[in-house]
Amino acid sequence: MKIETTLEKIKDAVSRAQKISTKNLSLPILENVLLVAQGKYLTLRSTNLHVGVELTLPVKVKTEGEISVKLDVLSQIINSLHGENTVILEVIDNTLHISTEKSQMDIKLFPHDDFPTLPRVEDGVDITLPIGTLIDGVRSVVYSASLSDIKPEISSVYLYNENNELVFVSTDSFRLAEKRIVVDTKIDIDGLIVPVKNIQECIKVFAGIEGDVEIHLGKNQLSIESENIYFTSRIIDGNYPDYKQIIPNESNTDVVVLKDELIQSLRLINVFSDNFNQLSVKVDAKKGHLLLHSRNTDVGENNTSVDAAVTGSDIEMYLNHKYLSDVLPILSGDSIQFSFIEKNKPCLVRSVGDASFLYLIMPMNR
Amino acid sequence: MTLRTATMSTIEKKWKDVLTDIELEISRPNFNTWFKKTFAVKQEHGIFYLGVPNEFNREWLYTKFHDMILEKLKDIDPTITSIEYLVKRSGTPIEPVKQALSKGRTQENALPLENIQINKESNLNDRYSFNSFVVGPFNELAYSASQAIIKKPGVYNPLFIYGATGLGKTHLIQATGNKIKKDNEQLEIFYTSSEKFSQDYVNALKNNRINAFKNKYRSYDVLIMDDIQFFSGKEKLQEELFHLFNILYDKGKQIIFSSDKHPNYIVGLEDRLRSRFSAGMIVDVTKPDYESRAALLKTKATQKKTPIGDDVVDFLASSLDGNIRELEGILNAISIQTELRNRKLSINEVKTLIKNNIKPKKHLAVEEIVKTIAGFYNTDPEKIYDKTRKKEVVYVRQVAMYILREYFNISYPAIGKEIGGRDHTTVIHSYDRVVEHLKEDPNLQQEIEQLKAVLDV
Repeated sequence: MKIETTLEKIKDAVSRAQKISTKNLSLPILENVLLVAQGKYLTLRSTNLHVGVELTLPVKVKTEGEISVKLDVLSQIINSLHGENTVILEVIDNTLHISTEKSQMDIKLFPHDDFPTLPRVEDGVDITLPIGTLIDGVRSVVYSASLSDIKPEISSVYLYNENNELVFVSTDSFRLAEKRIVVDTKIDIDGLIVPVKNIQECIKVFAGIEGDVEIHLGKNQLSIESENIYFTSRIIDGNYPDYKQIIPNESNTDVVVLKDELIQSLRLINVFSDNFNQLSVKVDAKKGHLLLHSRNTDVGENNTSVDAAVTGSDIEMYLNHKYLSDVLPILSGDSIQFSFIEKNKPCLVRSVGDASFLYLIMPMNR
Repeated sequence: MTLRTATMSTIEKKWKDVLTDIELEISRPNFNTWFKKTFAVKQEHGIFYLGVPNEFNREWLYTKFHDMILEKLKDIDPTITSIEYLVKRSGTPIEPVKQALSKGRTQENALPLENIQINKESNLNDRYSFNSFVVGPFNELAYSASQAIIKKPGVYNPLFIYGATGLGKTHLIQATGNKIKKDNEQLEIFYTSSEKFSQDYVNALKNNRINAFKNKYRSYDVLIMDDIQFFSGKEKLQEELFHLFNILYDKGKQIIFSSDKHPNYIVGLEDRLRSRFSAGMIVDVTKPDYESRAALLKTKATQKKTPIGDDVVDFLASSLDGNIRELEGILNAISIQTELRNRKLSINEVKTLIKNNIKPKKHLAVEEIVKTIAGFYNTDPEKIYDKTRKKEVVYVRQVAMYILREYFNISYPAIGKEIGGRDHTTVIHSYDRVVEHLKEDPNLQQEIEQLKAVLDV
């Protein structure tokens, strides 16, 4: 194999290939990347058997061929090169010879026969979607997904469409996030459950890409294709919990606060946070504020008030402040609305004037 | 059963032998990654079905090891000619352990998320089974018909079950579907509500996928369609259903329908469909009688593990009318209260609890009802009481009498007395006329439905 390409191109491809975690795998070959030079293209393949990615880039192919090298070695090399323009990769004897204007390197090859192929989704549903929409939707909810393996259905991001809206949902059963994005193209997703780790790797692989992608949904597998990237992931063949029935449609207390002020208060709260991240929230309608209180027996305690526009009755409840900090960066606009029903019922968080996103937090017991 | 276990164990043994062999030939990491989680599923017509954990595994076994596996299987059993790889979750799925989830999080409450137990292929809800189905005189016939179908799908084709809302139609047809699937795993069963069917149809039309739509529905061995009355007035959809019905029927596939009315009373239903619905068996479910209600309450309470006294059962069974869904709702309320108080509820507590849940029986004055009905037809209410025999007035008067009798349970003589001092035979005659008309006149049916809605009965 012998190819010639620019540093910029190969750097981009290698760094994307590396977005897939290949730590602690039982099969050593998976720490490698497969390079295939064919026709006018170089393809890089990387997989951890949960997800897989193939990156194709146009290069000058002098001799076709297929090799496999350690991915992190290749990545370290490519990332250390600066200011060079042309990079030549050539197999000489049993090593990969990388040469630039200033450096010459030889790295060890591994047998490529054992490098797994990626599954293709054969029969299923096809969808075309701007990749930005997918990334946006996933980022809005993904932090709420459960990280335990006990219930694979909720250690996932759930996707479906309602008319022309694409709905993204995640929950770990203590809080829940839902994002709705209007799409122009006709889509038909009955209910797609993608493991949270896989979808996170997916959006990292596609970060910075623009334009439409083709999504193919099979029974157990999905694939997402852009012009140069083929990504495939296992999906969960199961049912997502019936989350809609728990979204409250009434409230007894509505509170509007400024986002920045709340973010600053939460930083203070964090200093005095206990093991349970417990935060006490007292809504005082008369005084027009939220009283936040946190206490840690080893540190001390803290009382902070946040100005608020309150409609409805006073209420006091305990929340995990981590759940609040998670969602604040996601909320658009500068005011946030909390809706409370009663002490032990979930509390609804929204951005004022933005109906596309909602967040539900279950209060803690004292 | 014994035979089945025997074959199961032999194919498992075959696969185990192959694995032992392969383990020696390939590297340990390779074996652990690709073969450790595989398992034998079944062997049929010379095809060995191998279960694999995911698509990556399937892909790689197929590209890399297929020939080797096939050769080794053939050595053990020469009748095996090919291998199919199925992506399946192996053996015992990991049971969700609630405690583990809440461990260390003792202070947190979980959101009350409920799992959906709908099978993705058949669209049936596993929750519905015959174990929790109470059979009584009110649904005996429907139950036996469904049992006959389970034994021999296609025997009554179609089976048409009708009855008012909340009487267990959906439970019965879903349980039938679940049982057929359990007994005959190879049969393709599909449950759909007529609303979902129409949505599917509209989507298929929009996306130019009408052929895929047709093929999908025509491929089922058992098709169960709920709430068929929603097809009323939708001609295009009825035509589609008509063709679908004919194809499935000709192939001897079982079709089950449910509706809130007898096909003859579904307004806006084409005659050709009506007659086809009547070709098989039409059975009704009625409101459960006192004994059935009591039995229902007891069964449901046992399922919910809610202790409930006999006096409470007696009280509920006699004070509630037949809607099973309502019974369940009240039982849920009792169950939550029992859990909260951690003891059995007394009859008085139950009485206060359900005070708000039981709709007080309507006590509308006859005068009010007549006024509403007259208003509906734009007639002067005074004329209803008069002796006038103008055609329009007579019609309205008859409808009023019918409604008073049918939905307010007022006796014939009482109606006669209220409406201009007429004889009870006049009322009976009016009632019969309306009943007679209802069979033929879809407009009248609609009017009665609308009036029922206006009068909230």
